[in-house]
Amino acid sequence: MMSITLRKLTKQFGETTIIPSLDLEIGSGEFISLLGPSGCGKTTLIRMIAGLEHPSSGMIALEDEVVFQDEPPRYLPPEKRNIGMVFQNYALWPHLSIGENISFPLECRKISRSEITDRTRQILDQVQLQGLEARRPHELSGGQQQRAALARALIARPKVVLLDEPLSNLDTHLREEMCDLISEIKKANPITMIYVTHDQKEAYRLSDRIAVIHQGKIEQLGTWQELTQNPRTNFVKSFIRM
Amino acid sequence: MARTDVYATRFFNTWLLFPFFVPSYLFAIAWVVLALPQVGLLNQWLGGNLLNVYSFFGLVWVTCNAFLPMIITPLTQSFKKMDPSLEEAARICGASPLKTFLRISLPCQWSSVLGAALIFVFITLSSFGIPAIIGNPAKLFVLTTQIYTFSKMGGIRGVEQGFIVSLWLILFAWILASLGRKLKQHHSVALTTGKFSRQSLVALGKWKLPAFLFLAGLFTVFVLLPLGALVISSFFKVAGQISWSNVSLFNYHYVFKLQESRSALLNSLSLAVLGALTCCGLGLLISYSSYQLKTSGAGLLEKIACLPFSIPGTILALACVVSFGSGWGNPSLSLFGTPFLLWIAYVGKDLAIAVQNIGPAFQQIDKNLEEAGRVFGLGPLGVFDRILFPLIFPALKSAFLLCALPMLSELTMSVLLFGPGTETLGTLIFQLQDYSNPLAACALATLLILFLGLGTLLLKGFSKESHL
Repeated sequence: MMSITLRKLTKQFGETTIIPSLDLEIGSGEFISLLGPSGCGKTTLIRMIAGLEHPSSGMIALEDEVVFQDEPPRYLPPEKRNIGMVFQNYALWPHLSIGENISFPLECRKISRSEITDRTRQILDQVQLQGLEARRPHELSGGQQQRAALARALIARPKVVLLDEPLSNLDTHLREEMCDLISEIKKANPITMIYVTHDQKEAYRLSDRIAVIHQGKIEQLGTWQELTQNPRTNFVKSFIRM
Repeated sequence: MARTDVYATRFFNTWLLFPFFVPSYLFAIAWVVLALPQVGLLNQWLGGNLLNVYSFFGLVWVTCNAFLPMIITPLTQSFKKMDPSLEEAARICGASPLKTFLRISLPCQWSSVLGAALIFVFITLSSFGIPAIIGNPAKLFVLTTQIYTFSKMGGIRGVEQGFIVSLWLILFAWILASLGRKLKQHHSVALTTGKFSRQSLVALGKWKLPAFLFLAGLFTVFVLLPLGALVISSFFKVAGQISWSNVSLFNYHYVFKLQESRSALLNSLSLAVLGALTCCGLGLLISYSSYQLKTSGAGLLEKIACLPFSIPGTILALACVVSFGSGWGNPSLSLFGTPFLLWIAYVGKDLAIAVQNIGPAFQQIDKNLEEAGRVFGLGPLGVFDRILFPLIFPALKSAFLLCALPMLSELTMSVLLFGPGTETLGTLIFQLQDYSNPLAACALATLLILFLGLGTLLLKGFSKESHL
């Protein structure tokens, strides 16, 4: 079963074409990195998967359910797609406590109070934020905010989690730590993850497969070994260097 | 208007906010034209005696109308500045657009809403034109109109009583200012983070048309109707008679023949130009020493320059009368009734506008640009002349208009400071409306709106020019 299917997906902003035509299939439980220089269209791509951006044409299916299609027209709004997402700037709501931030997805799914409390405690343990649930986001360090954002993306147990350059605002040491945490979570949960990054080290450490993106096109899709040993285009050859 | 895909947002963002530059007393005059018992245009049209502007409700209604932009402007700004990923994150978590608005967008903006409400209360408290034109006939007296009545009674006794009443006004203004400060400290959480995702608008879907109709309704009732009524009735020979035979240029003839109106026009225009130039000059000096030279004490100077803006105009005018009106024991030195006193009051009140527009422009100039100028052979003066000034100039032009437009139509302070020969457009319109010829007031008001409209268009043009 395919977890995410993209067919002939295109995106134009006015006259400019960001994504000419893109096909991609991601298997259930797979961890895929979208790797490319800034402005290559990788963020636009996951925003379309999330439903935050309307594709110009093509088809998107999540778990074999079509969530976007141009003909016949179909568009499922983001809140109905049952996904999790970690934003680059965390996007934690400043007026809610960390606990309220993290449990918000469960609140939206109308889950009982007692279960919300249980699951929030569980996920706080998992991301090592125990005891901080009453704090406001601005009272946390950057690394802690990142953990909270990750917990919020995972708590509703979505089948797909999208991560938009989640580590780019952290220093090197914290990055290593977060990479470890994401690896652990990946092992413990059968979640499909798409990870947007321009850092090949992160992509190498975390991914099952990597899609190298350039000017809105997938230059090559494969494991790290395949990309390094058998680069199919000049761009991949020059971009991937150890 | 800031965060959805409703139709014609650009139009509404300009024209729903136009009343920002229209002085509040013009709305009072307009609603007198519309909702006077018996002869008001709306009353005639509705075929009854439904509306009475001379009532508590009338006073509240006109106040809301005149100061609506004071609420809308800061709120649209702060909604625009809000990081859209906060809303997007809520949608991803499963919240519907409505739930996102109620649980995320609105609570994030609470401090802005409260802040705007505080400003509204402050402006209402300090406003003079509306309560004078609508409150007085309805026997609804407020602090500012009482101060005016007392000080016009003349003599030491009147000024004394005026001062006692103004203590209340000062007290309320002080309470509001400290509440505002508290609010700022309490809600200093940053809603805006460094990098924005692309500003995506909330799709309204089937609510797009109702939302548009709501905005169009607001525009009709609060902008088109009152300003239209002013313009139309300026062409009437007899008030409230809607017929072609009643249309003439009679009021304009009357206004142009009136000696006072010629001098009022001249006074207001020259006061606005000179006052705004003074504000810009002082603002430039203060901002330059505070942001570029970083002179010690410049920050304090900036605070002092901005202080009078948060003092009700009535009190500022009384203070000017006491400080400069007595002539310090020598009556020939008294500035009372001279244009100088008006000039001092205008500059004192609006200097804050200049400082707050020029300061941020200086702040945005990267130190490197200046240093590059020095490295490539310019002296300190040369750097100011060739690099800083050209970069600041667009902000300076905007600041000039932002100061000049309110000065052109100022009433609250002028009404306490003017004398024979120094009447301004504001005081003349007020006198015509209050005592002798309301239709001539409409004609003069129409001319004023024309000036203000031109100024607004110029300002819009200027704001596109900035290099920063």
